[in-house]
Amino acid sequence: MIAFVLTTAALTAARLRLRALAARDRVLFRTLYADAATMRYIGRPLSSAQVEVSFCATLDATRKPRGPRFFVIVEQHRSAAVGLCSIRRISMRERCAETGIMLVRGACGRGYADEALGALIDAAFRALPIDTVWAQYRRANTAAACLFGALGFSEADGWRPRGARLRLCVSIVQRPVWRMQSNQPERGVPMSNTIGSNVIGFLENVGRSAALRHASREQLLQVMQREEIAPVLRSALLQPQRMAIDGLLGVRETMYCTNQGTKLPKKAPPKKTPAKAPPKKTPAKKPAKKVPAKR
Amino acid sequence: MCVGIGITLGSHLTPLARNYIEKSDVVFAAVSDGIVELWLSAMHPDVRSLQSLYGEGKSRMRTYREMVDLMLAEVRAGKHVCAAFYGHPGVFAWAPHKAIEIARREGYRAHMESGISAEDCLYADLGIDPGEFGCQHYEASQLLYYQRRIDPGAYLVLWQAGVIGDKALARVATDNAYRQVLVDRLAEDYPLAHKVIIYRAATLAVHAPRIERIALGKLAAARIEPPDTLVIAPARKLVPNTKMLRRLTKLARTHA
Repeated sequence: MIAFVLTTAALTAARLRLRALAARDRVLFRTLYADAATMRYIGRPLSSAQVEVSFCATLDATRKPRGPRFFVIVEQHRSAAVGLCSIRRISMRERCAETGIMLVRGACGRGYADEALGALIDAAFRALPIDTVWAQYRRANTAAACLFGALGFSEADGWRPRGARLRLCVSIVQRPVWRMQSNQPERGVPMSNTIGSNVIGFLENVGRSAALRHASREQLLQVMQREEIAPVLRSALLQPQRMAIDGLLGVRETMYCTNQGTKLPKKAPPKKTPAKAPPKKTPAKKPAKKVPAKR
Repeated sequence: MCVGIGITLGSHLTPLARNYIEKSDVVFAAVSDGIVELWLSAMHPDVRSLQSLYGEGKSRMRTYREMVDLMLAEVRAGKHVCAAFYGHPGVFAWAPHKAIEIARREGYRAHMESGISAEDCLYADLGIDPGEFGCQHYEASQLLYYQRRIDPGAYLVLWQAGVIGDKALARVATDNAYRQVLVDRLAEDYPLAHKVIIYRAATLAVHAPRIERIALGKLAAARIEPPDTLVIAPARKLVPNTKMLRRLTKLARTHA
């Protein structure tokens, strides 16, 4: 069985960080689900007892390998939890998953929903065997319609994923559309795509050109000037440390750990097995106890 | 299909590997760094990084299994899948071998295409010919976990020294104390003054490889990161095997 792997390791947006829902998030959960204004397009606000039951059930469900994944949205600058977003109803058969988001009242209208869902859907498409992400909301919820529209979702044309409620509006985004519109391998890349591809193109040329492969610093600078690479990038590219260029391109220097793990030896070597037999005969142990006395 | 994209961006990708990447429905990527991943992403509209599966404190074996699961999910969905690994996809890489094994067992066609590995770069950059004195390769932790016999008359190459001794396979790096255990083990076969080379192949053609020579006795305090490899030159002259030589001389005479 495939466990759904959606880690929070790389789930960051410009101003936000996403982390997995944990037991300490009970207060946030109550703030969201017991608040009438936040719940107006979702359902009746929950009572304290209902919040408690719902929170425990949600936490339990997230611990299952194929359960929903709930993430707490945290403001990076003050480490405050401002909402929840999720990927759930992950279907291997239909190759789709549902997403959703709730923000506390004070965090609405700041573009947080767009940022958080952008990072989450990016991660979902990277990590899950799905081709479609869908969302459902009440038609009256114009904020949700605008949000999903801005993210590239469109109304599902007659397609109803399992779990979608009949009266709700269903919007979907498919993997190729998401890829095309994001147009960058990672969200949050600070340099423009043109500049990034310019640098990658230059590096590829150097890598495959016999004339440039072992070129001097001056020769490389000339080529970079000819290819109109920005001065800040030229200098960063020629530094022996990778930090500068990786920072400018918004990528991590070393991403992998290793790709192989060495197996540890199994308990005892086989030779020792016969030695384990005597302890079964209880009387035989007696002489052993006398050993310290010999010292 | 598992392909290797080599080590140096632009220099090592074979035409065949590029073709597989471009023609597949889905490309999974486990590459050395972010720039290489950007480069790969430009070759196909659906490149899915496997990097997010790694996590500090998470067993790497779990990560590797998840890699296999993700790749096979697409294979089972009827897609042509290409997994692009840095270096050679079959060298120090558990997931590609496992994915191919499972795919074949389930009746799918699966294949591995070789790539230029860090080992290949090492021979070129350090000017080492493994045929000269022989060359032993060990995963660094394995050298400590098991009783292995080192031949100090040959080259010794230790891989993954940056995470040596991490029994839980959950760390991104291990520290000096772990490397000291390695030094103690190596001191059984080499003098502490013997030079060890810390080597790292260049992933970008504008950079030079890391080649740093350091005395074995100072290795514990050195900066060794996960991509680094340790290379130890022979410390002993080859000892002739007179018995075998005599036998061979005798054989040559009878066949003359």
